[in-house]
Amino acid sequence: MTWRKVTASLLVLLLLALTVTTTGCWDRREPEDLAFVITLGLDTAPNKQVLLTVQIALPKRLAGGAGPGGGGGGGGGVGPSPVSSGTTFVLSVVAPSIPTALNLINTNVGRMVNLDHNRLIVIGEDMARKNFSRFLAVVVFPEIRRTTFLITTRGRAADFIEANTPFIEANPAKYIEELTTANFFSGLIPLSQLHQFLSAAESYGQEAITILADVTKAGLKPKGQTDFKKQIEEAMKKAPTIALETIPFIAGEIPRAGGNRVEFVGAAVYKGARLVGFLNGSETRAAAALRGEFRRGFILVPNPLRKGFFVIIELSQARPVSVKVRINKGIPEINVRVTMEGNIDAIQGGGNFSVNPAKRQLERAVEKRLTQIANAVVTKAQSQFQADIFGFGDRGARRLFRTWDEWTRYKWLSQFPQARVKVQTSFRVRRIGLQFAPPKPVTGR
Amino acid sequence: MGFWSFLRRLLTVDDSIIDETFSLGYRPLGERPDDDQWSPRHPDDEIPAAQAGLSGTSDAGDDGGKGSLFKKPTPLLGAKKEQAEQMSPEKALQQQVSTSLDVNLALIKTALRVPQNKDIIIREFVIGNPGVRAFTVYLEGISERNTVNFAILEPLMLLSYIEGPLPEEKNVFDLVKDKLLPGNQVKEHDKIQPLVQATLVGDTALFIDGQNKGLVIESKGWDRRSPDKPITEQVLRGSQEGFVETLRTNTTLIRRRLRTPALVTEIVQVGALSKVDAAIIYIDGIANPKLIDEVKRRIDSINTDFLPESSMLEDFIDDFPGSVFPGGMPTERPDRAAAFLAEGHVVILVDNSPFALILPATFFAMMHAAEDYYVKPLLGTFLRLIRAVSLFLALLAPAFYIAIANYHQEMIPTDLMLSIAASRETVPFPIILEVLLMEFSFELIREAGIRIPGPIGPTIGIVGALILGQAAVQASIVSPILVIVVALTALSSFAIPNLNLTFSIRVLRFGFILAASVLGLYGIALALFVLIIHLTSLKSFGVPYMSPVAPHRPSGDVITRIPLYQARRRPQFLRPLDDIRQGKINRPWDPSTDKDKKGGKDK
Amino acid sequence: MSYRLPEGHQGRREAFALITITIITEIFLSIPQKLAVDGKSAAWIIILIAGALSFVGLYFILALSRRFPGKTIVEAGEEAVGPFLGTIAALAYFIFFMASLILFLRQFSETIITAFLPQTPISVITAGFLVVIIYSTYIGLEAISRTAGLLIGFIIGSLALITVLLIPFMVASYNLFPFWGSGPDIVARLGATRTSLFGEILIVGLIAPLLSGKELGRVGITSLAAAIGIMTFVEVIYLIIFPLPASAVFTFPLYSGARLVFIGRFVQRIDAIFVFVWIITALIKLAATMYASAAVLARALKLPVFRPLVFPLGILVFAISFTIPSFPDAVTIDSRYLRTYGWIPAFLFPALVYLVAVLRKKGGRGSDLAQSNS
Repeated sequence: MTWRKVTASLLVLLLLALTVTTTGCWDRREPEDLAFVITLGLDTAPNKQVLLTVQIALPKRLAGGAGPGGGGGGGGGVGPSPVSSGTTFVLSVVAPSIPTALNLINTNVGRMVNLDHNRLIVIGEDMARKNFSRFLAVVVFPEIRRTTFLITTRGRAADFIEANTPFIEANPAKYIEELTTANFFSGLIPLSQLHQFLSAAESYGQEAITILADVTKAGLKPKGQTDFKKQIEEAMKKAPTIALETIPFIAGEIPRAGGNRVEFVGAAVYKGARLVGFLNGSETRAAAALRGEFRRGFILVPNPLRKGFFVIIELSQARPVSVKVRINKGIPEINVRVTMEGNIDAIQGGGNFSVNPAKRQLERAVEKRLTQIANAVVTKAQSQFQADIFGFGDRGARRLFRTWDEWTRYKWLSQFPQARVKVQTSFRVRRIGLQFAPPKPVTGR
Repeated sequence: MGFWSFLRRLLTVDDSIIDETFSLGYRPLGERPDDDQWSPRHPDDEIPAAQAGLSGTSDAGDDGGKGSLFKKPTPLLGAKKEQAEQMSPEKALQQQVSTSLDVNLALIKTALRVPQNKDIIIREFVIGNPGVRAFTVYLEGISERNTVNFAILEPLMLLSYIEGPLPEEKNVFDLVKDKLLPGNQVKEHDKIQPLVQATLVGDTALFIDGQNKGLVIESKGWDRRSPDKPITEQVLRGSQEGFVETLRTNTTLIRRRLRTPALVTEIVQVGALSKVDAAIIYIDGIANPKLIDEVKRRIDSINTDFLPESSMLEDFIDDFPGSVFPGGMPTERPDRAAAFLAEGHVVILVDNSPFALILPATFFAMMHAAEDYYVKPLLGTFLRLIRAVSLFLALLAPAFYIAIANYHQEMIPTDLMLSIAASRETVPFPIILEVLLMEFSFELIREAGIRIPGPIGPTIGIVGALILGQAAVQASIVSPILVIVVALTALSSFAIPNLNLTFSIRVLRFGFILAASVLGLYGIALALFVLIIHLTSLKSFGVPYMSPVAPHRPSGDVITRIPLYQARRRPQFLRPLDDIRQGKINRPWDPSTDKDKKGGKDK
Repeated sequence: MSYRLPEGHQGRREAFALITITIITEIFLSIPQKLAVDGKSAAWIIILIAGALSFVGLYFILALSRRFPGKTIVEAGEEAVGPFLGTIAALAYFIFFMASLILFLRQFSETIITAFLPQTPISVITAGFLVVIIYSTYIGLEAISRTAGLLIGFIIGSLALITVLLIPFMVASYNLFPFWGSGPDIVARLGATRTSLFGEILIVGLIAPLLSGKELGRVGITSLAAAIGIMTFVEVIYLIIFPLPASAVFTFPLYSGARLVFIGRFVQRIDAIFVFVWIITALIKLAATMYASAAVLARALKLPVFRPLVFPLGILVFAISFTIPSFPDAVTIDSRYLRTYGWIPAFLFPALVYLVAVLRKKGGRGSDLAQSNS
């Protein structure tokens, strides 16, 4: 019996020793052995290969909190450099497929590349227009999640990632999340996670859109190379060409100076998995409203009481958008009702809109404007892109069919360009801010 | 307990393990006393013959004289005395009381190892005038001096004169016993052994010349602790009395709370050398008789020599000695013991032990504290919730930390992940080693803290835990997150009310750490499942350990603390004889607490 | 002849929990996906139809147990149709439970590998499962069902939680249209052939001696109804979240759903917690199925105890589960054989046995089943 006890205890001890000292129980990974990829970029490369760009986070150098090294934070060790913001570094490699590329990256990064914390996938314009669907197969890879955000850049994804040096956030992952979700609430970019993209792309009743981003010439460059004054002059030069009530910018064109070198404005429109065009800021907002994703945004309408001035309204969606579809001799007829409400944020030029008939006038002006914008974007989708990016098919037409075969045979996506779309908007003013009328400075003679 | 025997049992056909060893019997739930005619028991109600326990030393049966066919010739007196002096003490104990005082004296001195044993005091005196010789034997320190002097020696020595000349020999004994001894408990014996035993517990033994019987007079009194705050179970609002080391005081504390004649205290003696009194307390008419009999049976089977503490008693009668979980609930509080008695449990008190043992034990009862009932119901529920959370933390926190940091890094927010990775860059050990190191140091601090003398004690706790942890972090031996995890775990384990359970959790924690380090969350899931299966398979005195949750009986008393006016029935798992404890409507002036007119919330 | 296999006492809630969990755990495998492939957006209707039809099977199992009170379906079968045919039926039950056990074990181990531990060899994971299951079965049915009763709240709660957390993704309710999916005729046909999804209800027949007749009926009906409800609900949620071509291709449907949880900055990537709960659910189901296999085999072979069979059965399961070459093979075998023909041992055999018993007038009081409704 003692012999057996000895063997048994030795076995247990051995097991304990193994678990404690071995550096891996197959899957055990110490956190400091991992290289966390925050952003992934895809570009085309010659010979049907892919240029994979990764942005890897450098762990903050926290030396025990109260210790002497505590304050140094992100700057420790690696200072800002052309391809590093101090908290991340960027790396690109050419390979036939994405998993191969990840392996190749491991040849020079000392830690295991890990996509668990990946936030963003950036698709270069080139790849988006050509053979993106080949690399969609990467979603089968378990480390990629469907909740990853997807953006399309004009130009190369690698340039975009390299230029992306957020200054307000040390943690790039947080920055991306904040940007893609908070900005969504202004309506200037759509909600585009891999899940939404794939759902729309694979659907017979809608097409996909993603966030559009680009590198600008404005923006702070590292190591004090920014010429701030010059950037402001450039911005001023663009001003006269701007149409007043809209945000006609797509990414890369906003007249500004300083800040991050990249911007996220507008949407990229896809047919299937192929990029076909862009929507600018206000078009994206209108499309978002029609998709039922609009949350809040500002709109300018001409002040009905004072010519030449504008009233600034903060819009929000009051009720879900209702989409009713009828199929008349094979041609769809789509009726969309958008119900908005809003607060008056600023009244340029004065005027009291808290009572009718001024209020009603304003509301009608807003409705007219909204319908205008909506119709414009629908026309653009129908004629220029020929893509149902609003999901009218899925939301309205799908329930008219009894079986799946009937639905797929109808080929909604080809019928959409001929569809007759009627958009009705209704708008009500709810609140008028802190003052009934704007300040009216008075002077003497 | 034997891994190979366990394996062997896996493959044997002999399935005696599934013998239902003990069960309280299945009473179909349909039989219930008629609700409308129920009323609280009146104190004057008749109860079936209850044995009101009397503290008396039971006649531990000794051999007595072997009835032999041939009578030995009675030796002469002097020879008998010499014989007595040369006997072995064990043999001396077996003798009958002799009519000769000197022989008795010799026997007593031999049995009690006098004069080596200086505790024993023998006082020889004369009763009456002209007087009969007598002597008393008692143990100094255990017997109360005043009782001996004034209730035994004084009446015998002084008052016997008043009675006049002593009657003849036959009546001396009765005279002394009936008329001269004002002691409230007297008992007569004709063998040496019980008389000697009586002196050992503090009574006084009286031998009279010419009488072949001895008298035992109760005179217990020793230095005892008076009921003080219970050390382990403190409450803010509630009685501050705790059990002490004296059995009588303890039974008194319970009796004061349950002033019913149905409360029965049976006393048995345990241990060949220790011969301590163990009191088995129950309420006749509520406690299930099968339970009582089983408890008595198990205690009677104990065949050991020394039993200093109720936990050792628990060891002997435990249902599952091989498991880490306790089979009986210890408590230091008489109010808790009384509450359990009122539900139908059996309480065991062991002399010299301030911990009462409550049987049968259930897991959830061990997670309840007395305080839950002394504050309002919602607050009691809140306290229990906190304790439930702390149970999980104490058991699983380090394991989860290892599993998530080593296997499932995606679950941690990126910020935190990067911090952890950064702080771990300078730490040379893998996470598992870190955790084991910190856990071990904490256990060390805990053990050491128990033994550190008074003034330094609390300081060491602070010094050890915080500064050590802090220093370790700064020396980059452990990462700061881990210090938090370990501290949280330690705090949570202190929130568990039952001491035994705390120990169990501490031990199990290491098992979970091991499981997590090998297979991550999968390992924890497997280990947790094994633990739950183990728990649900335990049965303490026929009562499933996880009652009332595992065989599910609706009871508001597990995590939530049910308001008392709704607790109409006693817990079903004890199969009490009478399971209604309250009338239907306890707050007749408040219609809102009258759940339904039919019969209140079923417990 | 009644065998002394006392498994202690069963409470109503424990039995309910045990049976429900045993049936619904397969929803964590590929079932939602397979159904979505065939039934498209009407996959949930398939479940409803299959469930409704399985009540017929349940009726026969209950009737058989009622007719032979105090006996399990194995002994009842032997008494009704004679020892030889009865043993054949018992072996059929045994094979059904074993198949369920092996296939589930293999598929779930693969799920764990993909979700949790990619590099761990599958034999380690399966061995881990088996050690725990053997231990649990060895302790006995009482402990397993009590554990089930204890944990069912958490399990249902986790399903509810995951539903709530996925509400932001559920705006696409149009994914349930077209209503009839691949067509009402196909849906009906599939519903009729998929009753095997609920085949594990057979375990009701095995615990029959431990519950009184009326209780048995109540437990059986409520657990089957609950199982149908939960599985339909899960399928509906799954279809809403994942539009069609996607929902038809996920290898781990529910796991992919869990991966999608994304609320704000903090509540994301928490799928590991859900898988944790599912592992425990799977352990309950596996232990229950292992017990069923061992108990049926013991009774069929007229052994007085079942515990010695547990360990060898465990080894057998371990070995057979690895004869399946790959994960897709396991899924195929599961859906093509077990879930298509499983109704034969699970429903048809008890039905036949019952009918023969009625014809041969065996057993007592066969006809007050109407009271089993409540």
